[in-house]
Amino acid sequence: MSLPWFRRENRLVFPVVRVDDRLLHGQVVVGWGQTLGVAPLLLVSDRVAKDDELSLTFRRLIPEELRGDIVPVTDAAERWVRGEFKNARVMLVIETPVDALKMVRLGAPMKVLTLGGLHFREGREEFLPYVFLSDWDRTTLQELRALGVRIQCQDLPTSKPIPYGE
Amino acid sequence: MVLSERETCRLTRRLLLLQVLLNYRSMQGEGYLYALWPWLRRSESRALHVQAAAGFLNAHPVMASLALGALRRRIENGDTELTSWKDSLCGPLGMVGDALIWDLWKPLIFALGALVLLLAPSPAAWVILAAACVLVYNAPLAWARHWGVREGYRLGTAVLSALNRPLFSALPKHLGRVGAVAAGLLVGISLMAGSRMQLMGAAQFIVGFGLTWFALRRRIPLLYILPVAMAAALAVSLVSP
Repeated sequence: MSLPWFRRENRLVFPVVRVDDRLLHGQVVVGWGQTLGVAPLLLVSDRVAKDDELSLTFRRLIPEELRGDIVPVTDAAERWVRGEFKNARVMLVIETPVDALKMVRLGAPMKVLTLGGLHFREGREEFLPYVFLSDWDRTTLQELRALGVRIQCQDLPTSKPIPYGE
Repeated sequence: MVLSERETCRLTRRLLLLQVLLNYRSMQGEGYLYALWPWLRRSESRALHVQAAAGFLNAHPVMASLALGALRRRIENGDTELTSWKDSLCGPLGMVGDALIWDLWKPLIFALGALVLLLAPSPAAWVILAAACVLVYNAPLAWARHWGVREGYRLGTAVLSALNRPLFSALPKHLGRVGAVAAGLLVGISLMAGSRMQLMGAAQFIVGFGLTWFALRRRIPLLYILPVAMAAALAVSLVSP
């Protein structure tokens, strides 16, 4: 097992912000959350936050020790701006790069954005086996880079991060 | 609406090949199409439904049974636009299966299997016990697949409500407790077996059992366990005669 986060350039920056269109699954909870001792794990999604039944299901599924919650994009950005994520091993899982851009525009001091799982849809092309990007995604990611956010692709903390757009 | 027992069994059987067609574009999509095909090919509007059946969906292979049953029901109802509904199934069905089966059930059976092999008196007993472990591991999963197909079909669009059953929140706690004890016993007995002195053996058992149980119950990351385990192994090797 390699531990790439020990290397300076790959060192994990908290809060970890992961783009994953499935939001919650084993890779997120076991691979990232429990391996790195993440708490809280915030699922940032307007779609899920609006749907009471889906929110309840997600809340029940997140293991207690991760202190998970579902928050709308604006709330997550505001909490970050207020400094609530300081000195905590926070992980934010968002659905699309657009949500990341929205957070940055709202003032969230995001340094690194990790693309962890963007799956195939009509109009998306393969960048990596677990990252498919549309033209819209690429434009959004360029904009994020222009705003000073480092973009990388990494499915698990033990795998080597692959820089995007460098 | 209830799915016939024969159809439930056929879907359950075909679901076993779900992962064979796994690919990065639709993930398990074609696997669902394969499972539904004997029914779908008789449908007059199958051309419409093939796309809906084979579209992107990724769940745990066992929990996928819920998705399959629900998918069959929705297609039967004539629904063709299923993309966002299928998207919403991926996370919860993946999460429950990963946490319950990969993270708890499989390691628990592995620990129990290794434990019985360690304690088995003869090679013949090993074979019987190993076969028993394979059976104990697979029997509940086969039942879960069958239940999932039937329950998914009954619930249809609201299939995720199946996960709100108390069983799904209680089971991880119980499996976690039993698994931690089984892994603790495995490590403790393995350490004790190498010792010739009774007192040292007992101490090694207690330390091995205690550390393993504590690490698993507290979910201490492997990153911290490895150095401690290596230091403990070094200390034991230095003080053992």
